[in-house]
Amino acid sequence: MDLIAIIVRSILQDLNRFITSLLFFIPCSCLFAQTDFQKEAARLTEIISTRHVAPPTIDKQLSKKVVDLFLEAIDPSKIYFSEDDVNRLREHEAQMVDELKGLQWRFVPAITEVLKKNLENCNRFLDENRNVNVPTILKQPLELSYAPLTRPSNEIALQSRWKKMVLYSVYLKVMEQAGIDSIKASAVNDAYFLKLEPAIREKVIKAEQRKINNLLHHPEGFENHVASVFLNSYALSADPHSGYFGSAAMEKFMSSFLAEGFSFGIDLQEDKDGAVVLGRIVPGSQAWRSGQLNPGDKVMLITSGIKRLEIVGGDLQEAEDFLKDPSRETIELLVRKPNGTTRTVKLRKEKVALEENVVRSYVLNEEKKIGYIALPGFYSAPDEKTEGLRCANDVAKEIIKLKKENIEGLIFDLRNNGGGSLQEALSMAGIFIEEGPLGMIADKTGLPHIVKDNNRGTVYDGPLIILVNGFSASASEFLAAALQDYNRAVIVGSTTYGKATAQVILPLAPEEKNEKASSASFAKVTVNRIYRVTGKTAQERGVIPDIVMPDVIKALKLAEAYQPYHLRADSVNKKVFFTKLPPYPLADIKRKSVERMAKSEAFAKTENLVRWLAARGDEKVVISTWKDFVAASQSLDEKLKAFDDLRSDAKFKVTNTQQDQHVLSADHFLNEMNQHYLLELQTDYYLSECYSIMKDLIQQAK
Amino acid sequence: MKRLFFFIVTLSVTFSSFSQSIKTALDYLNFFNQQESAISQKYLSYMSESAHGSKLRRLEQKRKELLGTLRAAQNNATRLNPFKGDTLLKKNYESYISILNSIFNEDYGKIVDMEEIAEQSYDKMEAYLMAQELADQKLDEATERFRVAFEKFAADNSIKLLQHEDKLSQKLAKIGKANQYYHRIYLVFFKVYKQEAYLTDAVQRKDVNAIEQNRTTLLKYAMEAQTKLDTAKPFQRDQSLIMAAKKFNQFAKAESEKMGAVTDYLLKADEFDKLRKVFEAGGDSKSKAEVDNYNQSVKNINKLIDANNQQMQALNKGRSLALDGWNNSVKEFFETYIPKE
Repeated sequence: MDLIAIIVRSILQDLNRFITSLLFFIPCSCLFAQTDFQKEAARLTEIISTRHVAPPTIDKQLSKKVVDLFLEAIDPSKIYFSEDDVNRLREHEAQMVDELKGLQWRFVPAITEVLKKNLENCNRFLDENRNVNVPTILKQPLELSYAPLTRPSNEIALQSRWKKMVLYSVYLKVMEQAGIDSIKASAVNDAYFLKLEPAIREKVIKAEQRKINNLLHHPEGFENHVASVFLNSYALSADPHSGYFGSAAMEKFMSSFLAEGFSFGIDLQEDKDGAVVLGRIVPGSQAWRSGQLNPGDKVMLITSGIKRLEIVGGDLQEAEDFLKDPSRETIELLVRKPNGTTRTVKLRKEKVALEENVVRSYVLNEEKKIGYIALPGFYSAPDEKTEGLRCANDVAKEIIKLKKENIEGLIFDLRNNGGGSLQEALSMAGIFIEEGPLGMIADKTGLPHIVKDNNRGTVYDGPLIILVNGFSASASEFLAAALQDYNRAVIVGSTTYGKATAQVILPLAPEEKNEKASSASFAKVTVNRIYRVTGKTAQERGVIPDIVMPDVIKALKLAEAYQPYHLRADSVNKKVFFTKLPPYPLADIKRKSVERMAKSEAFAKTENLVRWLAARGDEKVVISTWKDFVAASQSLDEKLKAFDDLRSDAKFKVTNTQQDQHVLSADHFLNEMNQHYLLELQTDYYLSECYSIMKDLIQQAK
Repeated sequence: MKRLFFFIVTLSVTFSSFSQSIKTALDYLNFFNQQESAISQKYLSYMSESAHGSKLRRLEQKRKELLGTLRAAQNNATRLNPFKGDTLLKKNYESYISILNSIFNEDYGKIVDMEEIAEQSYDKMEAYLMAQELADQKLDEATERFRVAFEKFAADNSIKLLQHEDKLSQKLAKIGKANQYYHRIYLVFFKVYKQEAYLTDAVQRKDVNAIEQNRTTLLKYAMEAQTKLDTAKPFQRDQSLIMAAKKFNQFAKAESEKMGAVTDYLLKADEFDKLRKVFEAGGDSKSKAEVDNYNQSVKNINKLIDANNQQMQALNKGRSLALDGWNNSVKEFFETYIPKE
């Protein structure tokens, strides 16, 4: 279960990054008020049709797309709408064209009413079942599979879905608790289940009710929230990166953006008893400077002004949300130390440098000294200190440090790099390419415009490998494509995400921006397509590596090509003058790489996992008793154990550059993180294979 | 621009007779002769002022007069009727005078495809130089077409063209030669000069990426320029422009080599910044060793700051000297070789 959880978590982190990539932010400070959504729909249509790079035609097909997207967004688990509900709502689809144009407004009020009724019903159902035991022997068997859920046909089926939901959640949570308590499989018997069931049932029901209440009492207002989701679905029907931000959503989005890097300097986690405890204390932060807090301290109470959050029994999510709320600038934290004493510490939110977001470089030592640089994102947040300099400058500095170490080749790691500033990608390409056009950008007119690097010359002109995976997106793909087209780098890894578009955020009613009324909403619109210097694009198809490695992400089918209504790949016909370098002679190097990977246990496991993930849609398990569930969980655990520990010790030794060592010796925290990174790289089998490829490249060049 | 004077020299023809209104073929040819004389006169006047005058306002006045004459010449050419239905000469003259006008007004967009040039060139300056070069080519072609048409017209109408050199054309020829020579050396100088400016800008922005790229490019350009200057011939045994360009080149080469130290300094400054943050965040619980280490780092960075400041001052001085040398040489060159009006 762990691996999937890890994969899913990293996916979410990366998707978050996509949201902030390639955008221009327009600050706003408007008060939230009742919104006239009919007007909003008309304005959104106006913006999409005039600015979107490929505006959709407003017709019946589009109406169907919008309704499908809306249902998926508002009810992803298919627990709030039955097929009967949907069919009744579909009757409005015929008039949807008028709805989208802002000529009428009936569908959303109708659907809001149905949703409200169903949410209240579900809430009541949960109340009624609060004291009903979840049995160890089921009257109706539970069927588990990875296939997409179908919608319950009617109200009765909907109720049955709710029942199964509670049952499944309780089973799962008890099993998780057994894992936390390290209970042996034989001991996870009916008695164990019956002992834990009442408390866990209460937790599950509470959590589900909280979800419902969060919707019904949405900070935006329930009706407004549903309407916002509808308009967002409409924007999504143009392409997966367009969107609509209602006034409240926009404020939240903006403040979360502005608050980026601001934190109280503490991370929370759950200990093995399920209590909320302090995890990491960020060095240099106020929490760290106070000297009163340590990892492992139990969090008892958090107060902020008149708001109090008592943490009894522990709810990590709730505590984290409380801290993340952008409106909370100061808090008082009551913690219990392991020796039983308590402390109260006042904390203020501060900008804390996020070390993990910064470019890092290392030396890989074996037969050859090879430089390694990992770039997590194309960051470009303006900062007075750096006088507007961004990640390209940071990468150049790391390269200079590595050159002082006399490296013979460089591996530039763009795995999981979701993109960011295109300007930085251009400057980054300039580090490796002498001069020339690097790609093209076109708006809805289709006329391509060439983009270049600002500096002539290179910082590094030796052998270069770019390592990518299915989460290398946007600016990462632009850079990889440019370096591939110039024959400047060998691209290694798996096919990239496939996003070659750029977005802007535009106010829906710019003329009203000084008024308090419905002026604070914004549309995120895909305004540009991005092309390679050859006129082709990485949109939909991604950048295909020169040397391909197996990758789990591909099997999860999350790339652009799997997103509904994504823009299709096309090409531009424009003569671009650029001088290619002679190609790397790869035939022999590829053959050797394939041979090595075939012998590698880690790559074999990866291939197996990819195969399993691709095929598991057909797997079904029927659960009739608690015992069945335990057996199924154990069987899944066994299966996943085979993919566990996907690491292998590399032959090379990973070290820091001499210059970094000075800083590391003075900064204990940085050093601690560094040890973690070193270990990660030391056992990264993708990197290990890259090192071998690089050795062959250098050998062949001689 | 340089091409103009060759043509004007070759056009300085005399005819056996002359009359005020255009009735005969001879009058017709003389119309062009008059136009070109007027332009030549204004051009000489402008060049003489630029080489020997000292008042900017006066020079600007001369420039305006030259542009006015060119404009008038173009208008006259448009109004001119074809001679007895023969449109060839008129058409070719119009095309030539229009290109000439655009070049003097630096309006290259009318002659060449600026967008294509922008896409083919690295920056605005390269685009400008490329546009100039292409415009010169176009003028060359137009001039040649006009010359052929002019000679054909004379032959068709049994007019004998007699070439001779008067004082004006002699002066123009001198200007043409000096200009052409200057332009050749200037282009070699300019490429290095511009690249050096990019480097200076990168240093001011503390942009290590740009410093590293521009300094290696500067070194490459300085070496290329060195080879070109080594084989360049003096102008009438005068080496001054070559020597001045070489001096600037030497400075640029030395600067690009010294810039490695600037990059090192910026990296060390970064490192110190990190150390400082760690030290300041440490509160009061620092060991003596930590304090000593930090104090040593402060001493080291102060030394580096001093050294870097001194180097930057030396480079600024070197640049000023080399540029002053170049500017003075250019001034003297024009004073010496551009004849007075």
